[in-house]
Amino acid sequence: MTHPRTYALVCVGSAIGALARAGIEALYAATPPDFPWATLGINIGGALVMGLLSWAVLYLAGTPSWTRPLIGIGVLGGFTTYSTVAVESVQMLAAGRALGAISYVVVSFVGGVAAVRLGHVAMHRWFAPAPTIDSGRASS
Amino acid sequence: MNVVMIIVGAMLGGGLRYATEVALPTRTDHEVPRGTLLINIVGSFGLGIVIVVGADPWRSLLGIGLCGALTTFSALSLQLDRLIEARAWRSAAAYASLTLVLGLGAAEMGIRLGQWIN
Repeated sequence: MTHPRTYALVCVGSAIGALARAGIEALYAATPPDFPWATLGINIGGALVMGLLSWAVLYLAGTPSWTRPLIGIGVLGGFTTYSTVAVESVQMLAAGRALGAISYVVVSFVGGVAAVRLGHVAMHRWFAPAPTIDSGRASS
Repeated sequence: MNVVMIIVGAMLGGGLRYATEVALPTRTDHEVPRGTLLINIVGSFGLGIVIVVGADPWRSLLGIGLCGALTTFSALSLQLDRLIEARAWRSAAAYASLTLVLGLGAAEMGIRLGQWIN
């Protein structure tokens, strides 16, 4: 697990993910305390891909060993972010936009988990049409 | 925005995140992922400081790069989904609320520390 190759894949992936995040945040810049649509989209989009990927890593034979460190921990870890969510929520609260801040964190958390689940269900539909021993776990 | 600084910061942040998750592994399906919880709190504190005091290239290196890549939302969502799937309701609720309360509290403290430094 702590092989240097794993660290290299994680670091390279994180840089790619962070650059994509910076690009999207620059294109759809929200001036605090505006509602942070860009960060919300990044995090829910990243969670959706994480759902697809984690299903593949668990159940899809032939998924390469670099997939989890490079794409999962690296690209998606570097792309999605929690620190920005925390700072943006605090800035909205400080500006008196409590309702906006509450909706932001609730939609982020519920949307993130729902996106992972959607990714699992989609992969299950595409790759495991026949009932298998994993069907309950992946789609329930 | 400084592309080279974002790359350097993100490589450090991603590597640190992975090292923390290796050092504080989750052993069962039911426990709160301490490693991810810790890095998300620490990163929120750090970004709070940087957002107040940091101008480029520091903002790109430490804010967008380091704290942005150190913290993660995709792993958090996946871990919450796994806890819910394992019907570990208490751990799921504890993990979500600890991330939320301690993360926002850390960001607030970071912002205040930044204002004090300025």
